[in-house]
Formats: sequence, structure tokens, C-alpha cells
Amino acid sequence: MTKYILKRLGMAALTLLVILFILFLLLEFMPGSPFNDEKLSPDQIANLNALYGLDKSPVIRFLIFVKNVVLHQDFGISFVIKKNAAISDMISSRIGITIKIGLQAILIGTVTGIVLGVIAGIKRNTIFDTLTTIIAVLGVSIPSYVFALGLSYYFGYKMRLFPITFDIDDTVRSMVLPSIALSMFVIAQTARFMRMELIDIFKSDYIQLAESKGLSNLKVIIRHALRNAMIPVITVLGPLLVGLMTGSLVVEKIFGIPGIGSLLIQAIQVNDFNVVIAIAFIYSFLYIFVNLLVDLLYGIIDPRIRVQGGGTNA
Amino acid sequence: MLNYDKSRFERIFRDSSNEREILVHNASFFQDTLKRFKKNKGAVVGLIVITIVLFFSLIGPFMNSYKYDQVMTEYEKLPPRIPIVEKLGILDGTIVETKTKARAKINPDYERIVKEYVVNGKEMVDVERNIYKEKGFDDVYFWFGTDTLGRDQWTRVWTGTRVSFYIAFLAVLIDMVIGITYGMISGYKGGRTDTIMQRVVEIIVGIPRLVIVTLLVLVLNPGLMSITLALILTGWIGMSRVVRSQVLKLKSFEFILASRTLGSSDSQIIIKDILPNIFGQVLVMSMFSVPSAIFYESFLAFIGLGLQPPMASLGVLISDGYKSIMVYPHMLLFPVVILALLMLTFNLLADGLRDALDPKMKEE
Amino acid sequence: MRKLLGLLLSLALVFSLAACKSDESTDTPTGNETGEPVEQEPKVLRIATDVEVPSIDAQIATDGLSFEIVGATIEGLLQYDANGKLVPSIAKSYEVSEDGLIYTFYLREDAKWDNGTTVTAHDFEFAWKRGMNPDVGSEYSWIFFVAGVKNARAIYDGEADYQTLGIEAVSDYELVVTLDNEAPFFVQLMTFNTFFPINEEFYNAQDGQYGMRPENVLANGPFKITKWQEGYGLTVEKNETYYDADSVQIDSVEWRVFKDAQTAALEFEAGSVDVVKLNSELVDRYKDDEAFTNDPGGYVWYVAPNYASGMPELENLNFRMALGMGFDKSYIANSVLNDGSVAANYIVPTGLAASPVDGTDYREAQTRDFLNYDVTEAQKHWELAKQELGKSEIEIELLFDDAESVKRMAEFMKSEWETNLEGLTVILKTQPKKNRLQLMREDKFQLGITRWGPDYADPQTYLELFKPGGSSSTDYANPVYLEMLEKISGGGELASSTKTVERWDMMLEMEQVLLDDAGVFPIYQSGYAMLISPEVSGIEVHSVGLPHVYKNVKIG
Repeated sequence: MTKYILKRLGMAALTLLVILFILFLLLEFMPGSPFNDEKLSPDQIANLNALYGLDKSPVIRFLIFVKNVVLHQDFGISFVIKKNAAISDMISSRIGITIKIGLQAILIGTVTGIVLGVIAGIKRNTIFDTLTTIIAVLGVSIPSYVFALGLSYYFGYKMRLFPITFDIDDTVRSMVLPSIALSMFVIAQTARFMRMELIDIFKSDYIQLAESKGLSNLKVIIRHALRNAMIPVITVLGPLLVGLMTGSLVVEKIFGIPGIGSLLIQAIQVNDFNVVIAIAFIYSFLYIFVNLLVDLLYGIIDPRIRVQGGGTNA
Repeated sequence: MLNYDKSRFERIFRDSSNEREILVHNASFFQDTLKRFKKNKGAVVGLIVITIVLFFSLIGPFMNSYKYDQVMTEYEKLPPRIPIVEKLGILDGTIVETKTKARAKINPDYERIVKEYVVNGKEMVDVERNIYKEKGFDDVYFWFGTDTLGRDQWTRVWTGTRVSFYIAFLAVLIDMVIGITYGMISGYKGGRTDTIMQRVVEIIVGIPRLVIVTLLVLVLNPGLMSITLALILTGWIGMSRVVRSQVLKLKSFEFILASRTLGSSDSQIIIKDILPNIFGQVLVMSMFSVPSAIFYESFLAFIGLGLQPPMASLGVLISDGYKSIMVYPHMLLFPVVILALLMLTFNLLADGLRDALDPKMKEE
Repeated sequence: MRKLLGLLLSLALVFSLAACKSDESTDTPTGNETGEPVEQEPKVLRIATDVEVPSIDAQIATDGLSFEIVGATIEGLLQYDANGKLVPSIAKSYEVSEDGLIYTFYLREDAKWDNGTTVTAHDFEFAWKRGMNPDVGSEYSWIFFVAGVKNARAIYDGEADYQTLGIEAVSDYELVVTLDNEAPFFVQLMTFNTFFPINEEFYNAQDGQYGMRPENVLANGPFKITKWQEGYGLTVEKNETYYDADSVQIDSVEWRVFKDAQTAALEFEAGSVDVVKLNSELVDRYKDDEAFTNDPGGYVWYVAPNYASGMPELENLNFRMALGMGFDKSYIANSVLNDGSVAANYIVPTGLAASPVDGTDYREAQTRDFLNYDVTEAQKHWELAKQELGKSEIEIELLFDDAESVKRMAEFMKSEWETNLEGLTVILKTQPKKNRLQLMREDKFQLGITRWGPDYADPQTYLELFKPGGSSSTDYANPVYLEMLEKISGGGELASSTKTVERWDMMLEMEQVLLDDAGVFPIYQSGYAMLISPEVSGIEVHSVGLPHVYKNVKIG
């Protein structure tokens, strides 16, 4: 197992390098330069590019970047968003809040989603089932920005229960509404998958066996059904986490949260290359890391996969 | 030991005559499916509503004399007004505005106070204003109101619904073709193939979509073709992950082993044994790709890769409407309601379909 | 491999540390509640901004918000008062030599940085040379040769060392600036960020971190930066060492970043910000509110035809006249934008420059309008154009960027042009802003919607756009116009302090030449719709340089 994990970690590092390399190549084709203002003359743009080393080929810049990151943990400096500032400082001051809200959203989302999904699965084709379907559908078809603004308006502005936008002196209460806004998609997804799996599982022989053995309904659900139903839920966690990080940009924008979600978009729009690369690096790192975790979790939740699946023979 | 009815089982051998029998059985399977589908009320309702929406998206734009891109500046920002319905007090061409009491000058011809209250020590009033009366448009009816340039929302919404139907169809197709195939191969083959395929996915996810899309804007002409391409590039990742995990789980099941022992080839196992069993998850996953594809399209349109203005889709109407939500909520309301309605009915339909297609449900 | 592993682990550690950090901040109680009960409630001006602060470094800053913040903390040689008149600041007076090439500034002796050191002429010399230092990479370094400062052009072109810039601190309080050529607006530029001072000793002590954090900058102006929470906000507090500290009546100014206009407006309604900019969608909600105000803006938006595109239609005067007159500008200003913008039948904006003769505004001195919206007239030109070109159907592409208001403007213009000018088809092309700029720079467009904001209070900042290689990307190459441009620009025969009246008249004539030729199609002059709390007064608005000055703000 340790060997397998080490191997996967090594592979992860390699994948990260490939992603970064491709990113360097792609950014090369982005129109314009970070110094894009109408007021700058072509000469001046060329001078600035040379000053910041942007005139070098992407391959060389990639090598320099990797060297600086590995040797000095230095992601370079920002060209536009915070001129000349070290990106590691910029990111470390913002990433905490994004991750916190993301994790809270996942927590709220999966728990609520599982509960809703279980209710729908057990009470199949009843009013409860329809209701959870409606909640799930609204969760995905009302855009998150509309939902976020609605929360801010009713619970923040009208009812005064929470700050309308993020308040740095009151972070705990400030994070409630953004986390809920962000969790809607998770709730929808988890609930639907849970319901689907449960229905399948209730049909299966081993549940019928367990029932016939006289286990109570609740015990059957918790001990057998839930465990199996977790698989697809866990599967979508990886993409979900990344989705949340990028989705958080909408929520960050509406609630005025100083996180990194909006930073990435802004960086791409203004060609702040180093910031783009640093944040993409972090996203990829998270995604790969979660995927690895998920693959390992499969084995824990469903022992059969450990024996035969992508695990040990990979 | 389990008791089973021996008379329900018959020993068969693998030869060509039996295979034909299976084919015949497949045909009746379809009829079964149809029968089961009809029994599911939700699914039938879903199908009917979808048909109605589809009908309006085709006919709706011709139901009045306005064109989707017809700018009528004198009619800008009108709220919805529908004949007959307006007598009920809804969709009657009024909007409610919040003002401080001191500054609210009420013209009784077309304004009335609906609510008075105090916020932060300031006296506020909600004023209902009939803009049609105010501007003297007595015989003018915009069923869904107009947008900021005075274009008829009804026509724009239904025209936009067409586009969104296409996007929805496309999203599902991409999921089905690329997502399922990719996930299936990755999960079923396992080992080195799986490792490589999953690393490729990680690389695709690792590169921000906005970077890819910005580059696409440079090389492609905007339009349906570029939307399609943008979706093909990344739209299938979630589906492939779900399919892969399902395949990983299923391939250890006894019935797959049995099938293999009986001499089925890989492709037979995939198509006949695995595919029907993961259909539920696939449908659920598709449901999530449809709205995200629709919103993705509106984002593409915004940066110039999707439909070019003045063309609109539901996604574009929603993201435009959002900006006026605090002043003119109707601009957002109708596209969102139609999208939600579509999504709901698609889901009911999908649930019905799944139940109807699920091999395990046969005995019911 | 092991190193990479270590890196990943340290990255994970950074996450957890970052998480801890924000944890701590939640536990600390807010300042107000624990403060002295006897003290009066501090007077704080709270401003909502829709962008983050890119820089607090005077020579590096390039955007309006940064200018505003730098301007609130650092003062230059001169400044504008509330009425837009030049008044002394760190320089109490100045002299100009006979030939207009040598400026001597006499500095006040009571100006101090907030670390106690005196503001001297050396601080200016150091800062200016820093602005020209190629290793610093100031994006505004070109402004030094616009100002005509000696050797600036040569340094910019890499032909001279930046230490040779024509500025010298003769003594602590006497600063001599030598010019290459007379620049009529030199003294006005002294109010601009790039010309602001930096204390050399302090700068060197920052070890390359100058401007990175509040403690890495010094203030000599009314406020000093005390807090900068990236992506969240920035706070400046009253600077007690400011020479005119007694006249500053508020205790601090806070900028808070709200990227969404609607939640920013909600915060205003809830009373937690005092100043917020509205987008056009929100104006209808607040236009009757007592807090609603319109600020004039300095930007002029116009349609730039690309004369380098080789499109024969664009060479046709009647075609251009038809386009220039064929759309309803007031509708764009009043309804599409709805934010206090005004239709522009001109290219040099209102409120930019005053006549050297009697101080009237350029717009009043120019006695007529150009390219007014007039459908009949436009159609006349259109018919002529079709005849001359021998075409009945013409297709043209309109390039614009993906901002919401620009998109709606373009949709409206397409509809107007196609309805009013029969046979014209307008193809709309949206692009992200940087793509739009790049396409225009590479001359890959036919018509483009673009804008310009003034750098200095002289019509030249607009008039010099329209030349081959000019910043408008039009490559407008009218020989008559170019000859006139040559004369009024720095080094030209009219650019002397003795010829200001002739120069002014020629600049009036240039606008006539440009717009009678329909060289570009002006759309509107920008305005800002703001909500300003009725408690607040005294925010000064300028269309050039510092957009807002908060020094004389009063609350309550």
C-alpha cells in the first residue's frame, strides 16, 4: 500500500509538471501582454516585457519557474493585480478563506444531500421524493449568483441575521451565507446520487437477505445501503471540490470575500501570467490530491475494489 | 438456502439458435419498457410539459408581431402585461419600487402605496406603479415585458429556449458519447490504461477553462460550432469519473464473472451487462451537465465565443437579467422559470426512463 | 522527487497555516467596542470600490483607484483646489526662465514625512529619476517626455542614463527642472502621481519591498495608509505630521472592495458605506433618492474606424458622415447607460481645458457641435455614399469588448444603423478586452468601440490620438491635421509660452478638421452615477489626474 501511494504521489508530481508546462505554452498564445494599456506604445510594452523576462521562450520561463518554486518556494511576482508583489504572499493571505468556505459548503452539502437522498430513496414515489427532486432541480437550475444575492438580500439586508457581505471582523457569521449558497449544487448532486443508489441497493439480494435476517430498517440503511451508496458520492467529490473552488468566484464576488476564486479569473483577464500559473498549480494539486484520496477511499468503503480494482494492480 | 421456483429456469446452451431468441426477447423488452414508462405518472407529465415548452419555443416567437432583435426604445424596461390575466392583479404592467416616504410623490392615476414601514429609522414606502398607464400605452401588451432596449422578452425567451434545447441536447450527447466511453474504458481496462487516462483527465482539469476558451475566441468564429467545440473539450469529465467508479464497482460483481465464464467478450460484457446497470447514474449525471452547459454557454456568449448579440439563449437572458434583478425582476424571472421547469420535467422524464429501462425492475 | 514532495507538503502546510491565521482574526474583538468611552466616535468616510487596489507606489500606479489612494497620502509640488485651479502644495512657489525651459521650485520647509523626516527637493529628484529608471519599469515613464523634461526621451529610448534626467535639487528646498522643449501643460503635470516624491533613505531601507505593505510607504499628505487587506480593503488615517493637518476634518477613509454592484448598493442602504458607484441597471432604483448624485467623468467613448484596414468604404466621407450621424447618442447616454453620461458631439470633453485668453472651457470656446444625431442628414449622406461607392449593400464589422454596457450599446448601434441606413449590415464582434485591444493594435478591425481618458488638462491629450501609430489605433492620416498636430505638440512652433493663444485657436480648429471629416464617431462623455450619504460633503471631483480628493471632506 505504501509503495502504491508513493508511486501515485510521484505520478502526481509528474502530472503537475505537465500541467504547468502546457499552461506556459498556452499562455504564450494569449493575446497581448500583462502591460496592455491603450496608453503604452509598442516600444514600451517590449521594454516592460524584457524587464520582467517575458520575452524569453515559454520553455525557458517554465524551467526558471520550476527552479524558483523548488529551490526558493518562489512563485514569482504579480504584474498587474498587485504590482510587483510576491505571489506566495498574495495567495497565502487569501487561500484560507476560500478553502474554509469550500469545505464548509461540502460539509453542509453532503450531509444535507445524503439526508435528503435517503429520505427520497426510502419514501420513493411519495411526496417526499418529489420534494427532494424539486429541491435538487432548483439547486442546479437557479444560477448560484441569483441564489447568493437572494440569500444576501433576505437574510442579510432584510432580516439582519448575517452580514450582507463579508465582514473581516466577523468571519464566522460572514461565512454562513456564502457556504450555503455554494452548497446548493452539492446538495442537489449528493441527494440525487444517494437516492439512485439506495433504490438500486434496496433491490439487491444482500439487503433482502439482511432484512430477512430481521435487521431493522435503519440498521440496514446505515450498515449496508449507505456504505455502498457512498461510492458515487465520493467519486464526484474531486470534481466537486474543483468546481467549488471555481464556483466560489461567483460567491466571492457577490459577498465581497477576499479569496482566490475571483483572483484567478481576474488574473486571466489581465494576463497576470504568474498568478494564473500559481493558482492553477494549487487547483491541480488539490484535484490530484483529492482524486488520489478518493481512489484510496474506494478500497476502504468497498473491499472488493481493493482486491481487483484500479488499486493494487495499478 | 434460498428457495426458488425451478420451473422458471431452463437450461440453455450457447449456440446460434439461442442468440436469435435473445434478439427476439430484446424487442419485447422495448415494449415492456414502453408499458412501464406509461405507468409512471411523473414521467408522462414531464413528457407533456417538455412537449409544450418545445411547442412554444417553435411557435412562440411568431405569436406576436415583434422580432427578437427589434429595438423599440419607446417601450424600454416595461414589466409584463397579459390581457385578461391583468384583471387578476398579476402580470398587469406594474412594478413595485421602494422609496423613502419623504421623496415619494404619488400620482394617483398610475401609482399607489402598497406598504409603509421603517428601515434604519427611515420611513419607507413600497409604491406600485403601472408603467403602461404612466406612459399611456393603453393597448400595448408585452406578455413577458421588455428588456433594457425595449425588445420583446416573450419573443426573446422562446427564441432563446431553442438555443438552450440545442445546448441541452449537445451536453447530453457529449456526456453519453465521450464521457461514458472514456469512463468505461478507463474503469474496465484498469491498470496502466486507467492510470494514463486518469492522468490525462487531471491535466485537462488542471488547465483553467477560461484560458482555453480565451484562446478559442482567437481562432474560432463565434457560433454554435464554437460552443460545441468548447463543450466537447471539457464537458464530459464529470461523467467519465462517475462511469469509471461504477465500472470499478460492477466489474467485481459475480454476474460479470459469470458472464465472462460463459465466454462473453469484453465488448459484450460492457454493452449487455455493465451499461444497463450504470444507466441510472448516467441519467443523474446528465441532469447536472445540462444546466451547467446552459450557463457555460451564456458565459461563452459574454466573452464572444457563443452566440453573438443580439441573439440570445436562456443562459444569456438569465445572466443579463441578473443585473437588473433589484429593479426589474421580470427580466430574470421568466427565463429562470422556464429553465427550472425544463430541468424539472427532464428529471421526471429521466426518472421514468430509468425505471423503465432498469433490468432489475422487471419483476414489478 | 523528494524536494517536490517536500514542496507539496509545505504547500499543504501553508493552507493549514493560512486557515489558522484567519481563525485568530475572528477572535480579536473589534476596536470600537473596547475603545475609550469618552472619545468621540471617529469620523470615517467609507467608500465602496469595485476593483482591488493594484498599487500604493506613486511611480508604479496606473489606475484611478491607486491614484486616489496615493494622492490622499502623498502630495506633489502643486495641486488642484476644489475648483480645478492650480495651487501650491509642497512647492510654495516657482519661477520660470525667460525661454520657458527652466523651472525653479521653492519648497515649503514645514512639510514632513510621517516618520518625521523633512520633505526635501532631493526626494523629488530621487523619485523622478526612479520613474525613468528602466529597472523600475514605471508604465508612466513616458509622461516625463510629454512634460518635456530634459533627456527624458533619450532615456526612454535607451540612449541616455536615467541619472541624466533634467532635475536637480540645488538645496533642500530648491528644485530646478530643465526642459528639452516647452510643454504648455508642464506645471499641470506636477499634480500627477508619477511626479510625486519618495524619500530615498526610507526607500533604500525597505529592501525592495517599497509599496508592498502600509509600513513600506511614507506619507507627507493628509492621510497615511494604516491597513491594507488585499482583496478586501484599504484604510488611511489622518496624518498628524501633515503640514496642513488642522484643516483635515475626518479621521480616516476606508475603501472596501465590492465586486458586485448590487450587494454594494445593499450595503449602502444598510448604512455601512457612504459612497458607492452605481451601474446603469441600478440607477432606476435610486434616481429619486436624496443620496443620488451624478459625477462628471473625463472619458470620451467613440467609434474608431480603422483607416489601415484597406476597406474602401471607410475612405468615403459620405459613408463616414452617415455612420457618425446615424445613431441616437442621447439614447445611449440617457437610457442604455443612464448613469449621468452625456451624448458627445465632440472629441475633447467638457471640463478638460480652459482657454488661456478668458478661461472659458474648450467646449464653450468651440462654437458648434459635430456629427449630431440627424437621421435625414445621415440618410442623405448614405444615399450619396452608395452612389459614389456603386454599392447598395454594405457590410461592416463592429468590434467591442465584453463589458455589459458596451455590449448593449453595440446592440443598439447595430439596430440604429441598420434601421436608418438601408442596405447596411453591421456584424457585431465581442471580444474580451485584452483581445479587443490586441486586435486594434494589430489593425485587425473595421470599426471599434473604444475610449480615452485624459492624462493632463490639455486638449492635446485627445488630439494626438489620431495619427498613424497613435493610441486610437485609427491610423487617421489626414495631412492637414497632422501638420497642425506637429505645430501644437512639444517642440512644435506653437508650443511656446508666448504662443498659447495661437496654439489654443489651432487646437479648436483641429477638432473641426477631425470631426468635419468624420474621422472618428464620438458617442458619449462618461459620467458616474453615485450614491453619496447626505452626511458627507466636500468630496472633490476631477476629470484629470486624481479622480477624487478627500482632503476637505466633512462628515455630519
